[in-house]
Amino acid sequence: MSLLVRDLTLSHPGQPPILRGAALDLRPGDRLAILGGNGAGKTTLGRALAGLIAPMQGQILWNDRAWYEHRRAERAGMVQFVGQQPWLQLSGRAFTVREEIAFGPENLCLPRSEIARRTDEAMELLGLTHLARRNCRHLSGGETQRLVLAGALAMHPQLLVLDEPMIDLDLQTRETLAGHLNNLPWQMAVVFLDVAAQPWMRGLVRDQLEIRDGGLQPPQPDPAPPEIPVPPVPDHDLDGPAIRLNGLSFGYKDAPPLFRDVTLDIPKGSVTAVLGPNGAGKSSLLRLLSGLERPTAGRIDIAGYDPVRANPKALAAHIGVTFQASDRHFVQARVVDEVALALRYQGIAAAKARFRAGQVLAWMGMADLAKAHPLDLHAGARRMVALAGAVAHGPDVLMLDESQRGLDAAHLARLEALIGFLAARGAAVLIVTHDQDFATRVASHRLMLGDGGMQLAPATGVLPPA
Amino acid sequence: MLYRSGVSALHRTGPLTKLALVLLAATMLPIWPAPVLLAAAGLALAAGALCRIGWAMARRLAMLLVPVGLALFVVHGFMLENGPARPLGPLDYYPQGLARALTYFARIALLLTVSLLMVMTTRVNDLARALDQKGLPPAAAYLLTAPLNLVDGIADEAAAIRDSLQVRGLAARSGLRARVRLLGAMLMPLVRGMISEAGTRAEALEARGFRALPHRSLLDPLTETPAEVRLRMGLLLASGAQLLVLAL
Repeated sequence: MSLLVRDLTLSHPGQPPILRGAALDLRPGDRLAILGGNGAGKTTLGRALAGLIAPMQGQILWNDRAWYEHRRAERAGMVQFVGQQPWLQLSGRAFTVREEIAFGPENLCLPRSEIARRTDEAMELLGLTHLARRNCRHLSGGETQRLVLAGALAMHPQLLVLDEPMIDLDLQTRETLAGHLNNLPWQMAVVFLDVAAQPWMRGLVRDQLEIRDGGLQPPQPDPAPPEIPVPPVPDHDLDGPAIRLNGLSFGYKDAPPLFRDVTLDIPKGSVTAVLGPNGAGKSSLLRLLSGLERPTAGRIDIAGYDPVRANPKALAAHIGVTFQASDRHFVQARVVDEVALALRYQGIAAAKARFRAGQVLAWMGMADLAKAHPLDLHAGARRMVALAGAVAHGPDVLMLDESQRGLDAAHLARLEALIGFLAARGAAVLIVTHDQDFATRVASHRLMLGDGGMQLAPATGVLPPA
Repeated sequence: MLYRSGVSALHRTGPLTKLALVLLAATMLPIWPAPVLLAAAGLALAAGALCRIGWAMARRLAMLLVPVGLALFVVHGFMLENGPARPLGPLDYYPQGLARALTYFARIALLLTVSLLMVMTTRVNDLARALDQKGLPPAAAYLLTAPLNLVDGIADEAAAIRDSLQVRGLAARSGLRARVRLLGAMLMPLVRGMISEAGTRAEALEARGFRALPHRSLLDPLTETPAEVRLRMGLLLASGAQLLVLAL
């Protein structure tokens, strides 16, 4: 296998080039990380390497021939691209994990014995054998990521392009998957795309390049995070809890209870890292506090409202929520309208709401994106838009579900400054995160979930991995 | 999700045989009178009960048939002039219109009941595999099964958008007006989201060689007993006979 990139120019539709005259050589066994901040063009480059988009200018040659010169069946065995949203890469044609992995080899009309061999091999490599008969739709985020990867590996590609492959995984799953990636066939070339060098890349990646100044260059040390100016905060009353749980119990139908008779207070002005293993109920807790689920027993008091009984409009004035898969929650066609939506539902006039949304976007450094469609932005900007929409109305309780995922240093600095600002104003901020470093930097408290209970304690030292 | 897992005889029956059953029901519609069609629908519901999906089927049928039935009987029985009218309290009704409404209702009921029986006992991918196995081009099988696959995708998307609107102050639990407002707010993002995701899904399919060749091979081909093949042939012959009766 050889992949030669010469004089490559790439751009997003209607925008200036993100890469100009880039060159790259890939040979069997290469393990290359291509790094770059949010919007640098990593995904676009990865898609071009995988033949999913055509370059504006220049050449990408697979085995000395252009992409379109290869037959379609041949292409599928040359390059596989695994993107950031694994659930969108499932075929929709398979019920079980085994069937999903077999889908690609079946398309190539391979003999049954070969399909079975490749499927079993990919399941083994990614630790999915015990899930072979599981319904694809009933997998966790990490399992889905591994399934998509297994589906790509079953094609026996000569080049594998992985776009932020660990973005949806917790620490333990990252380490497990990194171990599995270490066992890939040696002759397969692998390109990892990410915002920065990650701990799991150690021992896995041999070379690194960075997208900088329109080219592919050797990486430089990360610059210090930018200073984010924060408006002065007037004195606020920090007495009393922002959230009060009284005898809270909750569980999903046909599943063991997640919470049993939990009573605790979360103080105003606190930043609480919600921690616990997968399935402990972290996201479910945020859904309960947002009024999207009903407790089976007990009562929640959030800024003086019971989320179950409160008028959603009244409750929404006091809470801000970002969801883990924020892309699925955009409802407006322009960024400024998306950010202004909660204000509009509070009855604020459109012009005034847009003005306020514009101010928030300006503070976040995204004023020029106000008229764009949220789904047309890069992943980092989409997360920041979701965040702006959650804070524009000045909530008393802000709930963030993995909002830091996939953000580069500049965006992360803004997120942390915003959390600090809201907490100083007296808001309680709850963050569900698997990022230990992020939680350690921002959290004043930790809320450990597990075994049906919750334990709130001041955060001291390094927080344990989620 | 429409499919309900189970181990009943109908669950084990091949998708193409169940498809032939739907075809038989469809060819019955223009030929048989309403009581026969309703009896056949009742039989299908009873078969669903034997497969332990009776309640789920009945709930879905009620959701679909009650509004349709009401609309049919009101429009044909009271609003459209159809033969001589008879008084009913302060209103006039048309017996012929009611009979026509009953016929339409019975046709819709039978087709829905048999179709539900099929989709609730058949995994969509098994249907696609069965079509692949018969040599249908992969794209054609995909096209035929895509609407069933879409149901789950749309439900997930809609739930996410509803959550997003609710936490920002728009809720569905305060009456009809709010629900209508919510539906209006959900429509565009739902369509846009589905279109946006469709592009990514299409790329993913192409990358894995979908439609690269005119046919697919299968890891686990579906197997059929000779009795099932004979049953399917019988169903197809009966459908053909009904079409012949209709043509004559």
